[in-house]
Amino acid sequence: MRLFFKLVYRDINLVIKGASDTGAAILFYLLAIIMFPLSSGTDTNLLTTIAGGAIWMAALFASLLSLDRLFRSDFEDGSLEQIVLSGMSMEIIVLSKCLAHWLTNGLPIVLLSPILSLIMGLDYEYWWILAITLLIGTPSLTLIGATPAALSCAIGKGGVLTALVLLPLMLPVLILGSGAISAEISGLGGKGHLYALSAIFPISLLVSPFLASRSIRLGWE
Amino acid sequence: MKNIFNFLANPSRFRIFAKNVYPFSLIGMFIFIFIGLWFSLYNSPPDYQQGETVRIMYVHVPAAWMAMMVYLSMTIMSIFSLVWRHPLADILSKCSAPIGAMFTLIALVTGSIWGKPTWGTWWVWDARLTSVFILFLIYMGHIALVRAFEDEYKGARAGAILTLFGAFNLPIIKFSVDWWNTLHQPASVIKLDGPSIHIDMMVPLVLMAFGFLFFYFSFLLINVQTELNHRKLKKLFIKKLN
Amino acid sequence: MINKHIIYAQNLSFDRSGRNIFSSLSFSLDSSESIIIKGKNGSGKTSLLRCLAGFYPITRGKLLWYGEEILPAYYSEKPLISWLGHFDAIKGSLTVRENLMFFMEIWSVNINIFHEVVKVFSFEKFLDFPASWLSAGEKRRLSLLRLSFCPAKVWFMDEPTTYLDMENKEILISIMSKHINSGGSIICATHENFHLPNTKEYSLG
Repeated sequence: MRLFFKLVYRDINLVIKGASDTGAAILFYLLAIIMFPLSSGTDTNLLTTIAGGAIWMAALFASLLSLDRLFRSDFEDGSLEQIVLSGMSMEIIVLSKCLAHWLTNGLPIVLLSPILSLIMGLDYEYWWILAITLLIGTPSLTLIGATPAALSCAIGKGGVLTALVLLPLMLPVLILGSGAISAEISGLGGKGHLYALSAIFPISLLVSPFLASRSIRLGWE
Repeated sequence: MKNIFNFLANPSRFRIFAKNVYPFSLIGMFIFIFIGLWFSLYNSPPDYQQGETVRIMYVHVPAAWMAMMVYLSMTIMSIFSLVWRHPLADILSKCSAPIGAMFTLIALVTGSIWGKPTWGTWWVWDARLTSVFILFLIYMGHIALVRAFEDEYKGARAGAILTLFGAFNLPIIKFSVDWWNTLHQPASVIKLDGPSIHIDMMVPLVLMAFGFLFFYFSFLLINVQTELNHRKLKKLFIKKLN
Repeated sequence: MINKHIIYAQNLSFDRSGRNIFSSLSFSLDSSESIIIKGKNGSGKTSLLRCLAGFYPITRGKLLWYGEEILPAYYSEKPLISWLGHFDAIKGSLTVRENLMFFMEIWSVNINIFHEVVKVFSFEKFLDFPASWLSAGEKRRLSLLRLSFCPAKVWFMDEPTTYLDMENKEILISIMSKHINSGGSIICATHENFHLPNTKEYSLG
């Protein structure tokens, strides 16, 4: 457990020192959202309708970008070998990297969501549901992304291929997350979506560390 | 049974097995598909609501079944590959993916063609259609991933990991018509209290399903032979260099 | 007695991508012993080290660590080996001190040992600079420094002399000898001639 937090601390420190793409991914999150009003017109009613989905999509792409190098930088310079030889089980390493990723990527996405709601013209009363769906959904995005990110170590290249593999797996989270918001706005209530969304987290928490550590070991083979 | 399985686990024996079984599978495929087509195009009643368009069902439904069946078998192979490191399991899984992707595409396209006269639209974003579309994307991602590896052994095992991860989609597809209110009609053949479809429609459906199953077997056997030949060729090449 | 050996290997074979890398290797490693693996490029020196550590799965044969079927890359209580591989595992954006501190903390190394080792490698003046400023040779020395304060008894070294000048090679050999004399063991893959105490030499390929 002590080692777990040491590793989380190190990863966050690396993000702060600018060694990973995570910071840039947050900037991308802000940038991507601007594309929606610029491409679909600045009609306020339209923007309000698409706001939830647009913010969710920007969040998804921001995670996608930063997940690509979740394991690969440590894999390529041999750090991951050293860490696993230090007596940490691979599953714990995966979980700690996921936690560090969420703290530096998912959490800022949640915290920045009110600002984005503001510029997208989402009504105040729906801010909470957007924040909650992001709060529940982003950890799942990180965990789901861990396995394809680990597979990209085994290939030795990432980028488009990681995205190609990752996006279909992330779609249910996107559908439920933005679905909750539009259901809430249309008056149907987003609770059902929220429950389904929160069910994804424990499942991915169980499956993901196992498959991701298998993928990293495959990379070493 | 276990002996047969162990016997076939050896790649070179499986190559010979595949070579010998393949013609029979091909014959089975032709017989079932021809009889099935004859039943579905001539010897079955038109639907009292949909008329002749219902005949699309005899391609659409078996293709959709196969899309899921192939993925299910890939999932089982992947478990074999990851847990017991079975040497053939990941090859079978890898070789199934393009066939499964093709069945999914057929299901999507025929569904779209069927949807236009009955629903009045080519495509709706309901749960069943979306989840099958995601299945297609997962298949394509799998194909791209496996082929991105320079080392085909590693690629096949990476594919097994991805297959297991994508398996969450199968129950979603199966139950999407029950869990959500959708345009797509609910299950009428595979359900707990027996099929609710008329026997005259059931016969061509089952025949076509068997035809498609044999189609899967035949092409799987060809793919596996190609894969094993490729690996053997590479081995010989390396041996010659050393 | 099998139990007394740190590593006991019997008839190890390893195939990769359908290609046989090495076959029927049998040896054992005890404390205060070193094994030097020699062989030309592509003869499987690195593969053997990675097999022994557990990064590669052996195809056939028996491999025991301390008489048990455990592997350093899977075992999860304390580090079994100290590994010097092809990669430095150094983060350029962190300072040298931060790089070392991280491993010191996860290995629970005493701070006095740390200062002692830093002095041996005369690394004091580098400590507070970003690791990306180091040259390839200095990075190699940093990895050696890390290797030598790891509490694991067995050192795995893959071409340890890469990028090192004569002076540092001598330092390297002296710390390796010291490690063996104090009860540690070393497995080293190299194509240079080493004079270490208590050495067995194996040739591959």
